Amino acid sequence: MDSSLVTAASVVAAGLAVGLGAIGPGIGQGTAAGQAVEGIARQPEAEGKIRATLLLSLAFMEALTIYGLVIALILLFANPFA
Amino acid sequence: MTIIPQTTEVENNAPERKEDSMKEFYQLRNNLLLGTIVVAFFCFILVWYFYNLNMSLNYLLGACFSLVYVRMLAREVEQVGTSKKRIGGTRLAIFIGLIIVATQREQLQVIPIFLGFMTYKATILFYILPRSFLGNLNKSEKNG
Repeated sequence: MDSSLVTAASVVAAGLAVGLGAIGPGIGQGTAAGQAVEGIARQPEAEGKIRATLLLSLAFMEALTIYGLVIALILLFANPFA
Repeated sequence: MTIIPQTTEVENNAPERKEDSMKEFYQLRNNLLLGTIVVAFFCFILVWYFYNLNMSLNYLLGACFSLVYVRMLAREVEQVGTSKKRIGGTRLAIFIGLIIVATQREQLQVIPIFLGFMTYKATILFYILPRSFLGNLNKSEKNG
C-alpha cells in the first residue's frame, strides 16, 4: 500500500485513539473529583478517607487514557506499518 | 464574651483535626510509594534474570517515572478542592516525553519502559485486593 496513505491513516488513528480514549476517563475523573469535593464538604472528618479513595480511582481511570496515549505515540513515532 | 474563647479553641483545633483526618490519605500515599519501589525492585531482578540487563534497566527507567507519576498524582489529589489548578496535564506530559524519548533512542525499548511505568498499577492491585478480600471476609463473618 502507498506509504503516504499508511502515514495519514496512522495519524488519524493516533488522534482517534487519544481523543476517544480520553472522553470516558475525562468524564469519570471530573465526576469523581466533584463528588469527592462534595463529600469532603459534607463530612470534613472523613477527608482523608475520601481523598485516599479518590487517589486510587483517579489512578485507575487515568490508566485508560495512558493506554490510548501509548497506542497513539507508537503509531506516530514507531509505526510498525510504515 | 464566652463565645470568643470557644471560637479560638475551635480554630486552634481545626488544623489538628484536619491532620488527623488526612492521616489515612498520607498513609496510603506512603504505602503506594514504598510498594512501587519494592515491586519495581523485584521486577527489576526478575527481568534481569529472565531477559538481560539492558531490558531490566529500561524497566527500571519506566518504574522511576512511575514513582514520579504517583507522587504527582497524590499531590494533585491533595490539592483537589483547595486550589483552582487543573489536574492531569503535567503528569501525562511527563509520560508522553518518556515514550517519545524511548521511541527516538535506539538504546531504549518502548514495551519494558511502558510496563515499568505500569508498576504503580500493579502496586495498587497488590495493595487493594488483599484488603478488599479481607474486608469481605470480615463482613460475612459479622453477618454470620
